[in-house]
Amino acid sequence: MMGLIMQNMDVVLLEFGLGGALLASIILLFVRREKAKLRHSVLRYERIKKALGE
Amino acid sequence: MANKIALFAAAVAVVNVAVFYLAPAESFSLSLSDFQLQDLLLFQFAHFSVFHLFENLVGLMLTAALAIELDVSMKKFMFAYFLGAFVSVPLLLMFPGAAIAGNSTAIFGALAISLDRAKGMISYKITYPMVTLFILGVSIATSFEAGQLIAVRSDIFHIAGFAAGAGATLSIKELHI
Repeated sequence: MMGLIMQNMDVVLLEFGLGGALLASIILLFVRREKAKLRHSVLRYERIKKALGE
Repeated sequence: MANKIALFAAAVAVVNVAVFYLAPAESFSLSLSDFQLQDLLLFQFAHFSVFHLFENLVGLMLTAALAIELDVSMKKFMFAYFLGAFVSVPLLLMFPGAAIAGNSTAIFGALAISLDRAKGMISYKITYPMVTLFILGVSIATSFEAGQLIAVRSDIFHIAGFAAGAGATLSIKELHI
């Protein structure tokens, strides 16, 4: 089917690609890790603030 | 309540799958030689193979997940998405004999606006060139494998989609959308 279409038409596939998916996954994981680090820092800051009685 | 971007991505995915199974791709693909008005809207939902559809669905879901993680607003996400989709239309004038189908330029547009939102964690001076190089790199590798430079045309569309998303980011800031 695909071969037939390709023969009859000059097709430009607008395809995100598995490479694009891999890159998006890496960025997503990085963002999630950074957010977790940020959350952890906020929690630690609040714990210290509480311990100091502020 | 489900996130609006998740609902939008799910709706696009459902339409993509429905169009793929209900109509042959060539009936909705956009080309100058076989131009039909409805193709201007529908080409982004048409896919030529299961793999083509699958890759775009995976890309859409990952980009939506990234946008949700970064709290990108629905309005901005959709603006970049559709700007990325429709930037392909004028570009088609460069390739009068070609037919286009798929929503990857839209996904790259949405990815660009998400990456701008992530700039507090990783600068767009790193991510934007990284994505552009990645688009070109994959294509060049594919071309070497195929023995000829075949994928460059789709790269022009993808880079334009990504640039449209980056442009959407700028215009949102300027116009306070």
